[in-house]
Amino acid sequence: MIDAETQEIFRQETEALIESLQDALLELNKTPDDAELVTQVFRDLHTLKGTGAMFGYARLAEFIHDFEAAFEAVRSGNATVTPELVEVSLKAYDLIVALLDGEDPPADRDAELKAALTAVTKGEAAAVTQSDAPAEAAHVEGEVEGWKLIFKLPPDFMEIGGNPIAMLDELIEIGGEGTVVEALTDKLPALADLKPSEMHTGWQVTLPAEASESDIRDVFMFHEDQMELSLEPILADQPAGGEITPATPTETKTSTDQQQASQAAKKPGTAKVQMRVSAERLDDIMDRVGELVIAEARLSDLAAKLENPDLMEVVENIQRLALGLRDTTMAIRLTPMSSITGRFQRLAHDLAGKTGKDFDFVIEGETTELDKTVIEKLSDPLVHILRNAVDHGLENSETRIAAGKAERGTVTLSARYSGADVLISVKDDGKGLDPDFIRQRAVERGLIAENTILTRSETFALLMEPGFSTAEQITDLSGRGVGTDVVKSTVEALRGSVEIESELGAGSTFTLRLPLTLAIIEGLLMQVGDERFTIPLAAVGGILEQPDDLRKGSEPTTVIELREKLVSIMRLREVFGCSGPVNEHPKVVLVETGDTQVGLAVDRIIGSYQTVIKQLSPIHSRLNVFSGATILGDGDVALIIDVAQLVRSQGLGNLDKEQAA
Amino acid sequence: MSLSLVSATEDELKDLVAFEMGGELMAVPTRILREVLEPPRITRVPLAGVYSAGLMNVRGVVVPVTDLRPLFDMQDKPFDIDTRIVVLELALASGPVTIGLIAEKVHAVMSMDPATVQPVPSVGTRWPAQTIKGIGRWQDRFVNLIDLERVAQEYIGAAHADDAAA
Repeated sequence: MIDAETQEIFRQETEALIESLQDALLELNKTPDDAELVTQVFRDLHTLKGTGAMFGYARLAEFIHDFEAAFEAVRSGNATVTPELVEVSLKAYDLIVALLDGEDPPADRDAELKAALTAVTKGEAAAVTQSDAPAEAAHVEGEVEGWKLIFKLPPDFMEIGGNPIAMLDELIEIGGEGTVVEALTDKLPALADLKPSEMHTGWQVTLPAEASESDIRDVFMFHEDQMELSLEPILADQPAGGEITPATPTETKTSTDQQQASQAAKKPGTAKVQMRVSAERLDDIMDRVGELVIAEARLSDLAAKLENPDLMEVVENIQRLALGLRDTTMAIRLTPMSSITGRFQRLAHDLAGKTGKDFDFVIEGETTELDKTVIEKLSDPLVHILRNAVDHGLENSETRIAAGKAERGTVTLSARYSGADVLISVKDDGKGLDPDFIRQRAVERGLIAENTILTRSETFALLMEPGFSTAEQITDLSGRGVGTDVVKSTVEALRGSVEIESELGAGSTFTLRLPLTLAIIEGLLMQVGDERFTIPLAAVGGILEQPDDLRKGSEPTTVIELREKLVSIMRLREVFGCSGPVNEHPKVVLVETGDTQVGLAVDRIIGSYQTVIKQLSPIHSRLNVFSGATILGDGDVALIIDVAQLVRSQGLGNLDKEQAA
Repeated sequence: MSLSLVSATEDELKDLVAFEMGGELMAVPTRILREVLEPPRITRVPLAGVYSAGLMNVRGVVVPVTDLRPLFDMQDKPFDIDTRIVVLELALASGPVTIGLIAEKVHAVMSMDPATVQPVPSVGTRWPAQTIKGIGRWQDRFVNLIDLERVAQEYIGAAHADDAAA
C-alpha cells in the first residue's frame, strides 16, 4: 500500500497536470479547432496515466486509458471536439480528481463515462477507441514475430532515483515467458574509471509479438528524453534476436565523455529549473528571516549608540543583506492568482449550466501575485462570492432584455495591486443590491436599530453580518459551503477587508482588500505616553503637528478641521488608556482605511521600521484592534494597530451611536 | 466525585510546581511548566481584560502574560525581588498555547499525597466555579491545584471577547 509520504509526492506531481488538463478542456470549449490544445489534453492524460500506474492507482490508469483514447481519436482526425465531448470530458475529469483524492466513486461511473466518451467521439471506425491499434499499424508491415528493443539509460539515471531493474521487470511482465534480456556492456569503462553510481549498461530485450508497442514504450515514458531507445519489430525473415547488436540507429560508439558533453550542452536549452519545496519549509525560512530582521534592528540600534564607523559599515552591509534576503524569501512565497483561477473557470462553466444564465466570465490580472497562504485561503470565499454573483446577481436573459441590457451577463474576476495591498474583486452586471431592502431586513433580524444612520457602504456591509441572508430560499448553488459572514471572517483573518459597492439595476462589486504579505511589513513606530505602537506605513497618509485646539480636550474621539476638511481624530492616549508624560510637540498621524480618513493623535513619531509580525496568541486574538505584535530593536514588544478595526470599533462606531441616540 | 477527581490528577500530583499568589499557595503540574523567568519588560495590551498583564519577549517569541489575581479576587502586589513569571504550555481546544503567569514567589517542585487532596467545597470559597481541581496539603499549608486550561479557555479568552464587544 502507498504510504502517506508517497501519496503526498504523487498528489504534488499530479496537481499541476490536473490544473493544466482542466484549463485546456475549458479552453477547448471556446476554440474547438485548436490542435495544440487537443495535444495538450492528450499529453496531460498520458502523463497522468503513467504516473497513476507507477504509484499503483490501477483504476485511475485504466480509466484514463479510455479517456485518452477519445482524445487520440480527435488528434488523429477521427473525431472532432464538440461541446458534448468537452462536457463529458469535464465529468471524466471530475472522476479523475475524485480518484486522485482517494475517494471511491461507484464503479459503474467509470463504465458510464467511458461509454459516454465513446458515444461522443463515435461516427468513425470503432477501432479508434483502441488507442494502440493505429500506432502499431503505422509501424508494422508484414508478419511480426516479436520486438527488438535496445535501450541505454543516461549515466545519472540511478542518481536521480531511477531503477533499471524495475524497468526490466516491467518489460518481462509485458512480454511474458518469451522475453529475452541481454545486457550490453560495451560502454562499460575500465574498472579504474568505473563509478558504481553511474549507469553504463545498456540492454537488448527481445519480446514476443503479443506485447503491444505502446505498452513497451510506456515503460520508458518519463525517461524518453534523456535515453537512447530503439524499438523495432522483428519481421519473419529476420533472426529472432539472441545476437548482440551493440549499435543503435541513433548512436554509434560515441565515448562516454562525449555523451556527457552532449547532455550538458542540451541543458541550457531546457526549461527553467524548478524545485518543489514544502510550504512548511518556506514558513521556517520566513520565521528565521523574521528573526534575522529583528536581530539586525537591534544591531543597528546598538551600533548607532557606539558611533564606531567600522562597525557602522558592517552593520549597513548586514542590513542590506538581511533586507535582500527578506525580499527574496517573500518573493518565493508569492504565487500568481492564475494558480487558482482554473477552478473558477470551471465553476463559471458549471454555474452557467445549472442556472441556465448565459454569461461571460472574464478574468483580469491573473499575474497578480499574493502570498501563497493567502491565495489558498481565498479560494473558498471567492467561490462563494462568484456563486452569489451568478445565482442572485445576474438576471435571466428575458429580464435583461426587458431592462435594456445586453442579453449575456458578464462576471469579472480581477486582481490588481494597490499600494501594499492587493485588491481582488468580483463584479457582475446584474440587478444590483437594494440598500432599502437590506436595511429593512437588517432591522427585522435585529442587527441594527430602526433609527441607526448608516452610510451606503455600511448598509451593504450588513450583508456580511452573521444571521443575515437575503436569499428567499436556499438554492442548490448558494446553499452549499460558506456563508457571506464566513467570507468576511476569512478575509479579516488574513488581515484584509471586504468592501461592497452596488448600483441598483447596474450590478454589484465585491472587493477583497488583502495585504501583500503576512509576515513582514514596513511599520511606523509611534509613542503614546510611555508606550509604543506600530501601524502599517502603507496606511499612513501624512503626519502633522497637532493643532492647539486638539491638545485641549480629552475625549477619546473628536472632529477637527484640517486643511479645510473635517477629520475625525482619535486620541490614542485616551482610547488606549495610556499614561506617561505628554510630549511638547505632539503629532497627528493621518491614516486611510477604505474611504475614510482618520487622524490618530500621538505624542511622538519614532520612525519607520521593518516590522516582523508575530501573531497574537489565541488568548489575545479576539482583541481585533491589534493585528499582531512585533519585537523592537531594544527587545521590547510593541503592538501593531489594525487601523481599519480601530476606526470601526472606536472612533466611527462611537460617532454613529452618538448620532443615532 | 472525589474519587474520579483524584484519579484524574494522581499522576500530576507527583510532580507539581508550587507558587504564591495573593498569599495563597497554588500549584500546577510540572508537565505543563516550560520555565520560570525573572520578570522581563512587559508590554501592556490596551483594551484587553483584567487578566491580561501584557506581552513579553522570550527569546524572540511573543508570549502573553496573564495575571490571575483579579480572577481569584486577590490583592495586587507590585513586582518585587521574589516575583517570577511561570511560563506554561497549555493544551487548549484550539491548540497548544504558551502563556506566562505572574507568581509572587515560586517554591520548589513538590509532590502531594493524593490522599490529602479534596474537591473544592461548593460553598464558602473564593474560587470561581471549576477553576480549582482540588485542594491538597503540603508542609502544613493548603495547596490549590489550578485548572489552568479551563481558566484560560473560560475566563482569560472570554474576558477579551466581552471587552471587544463592549
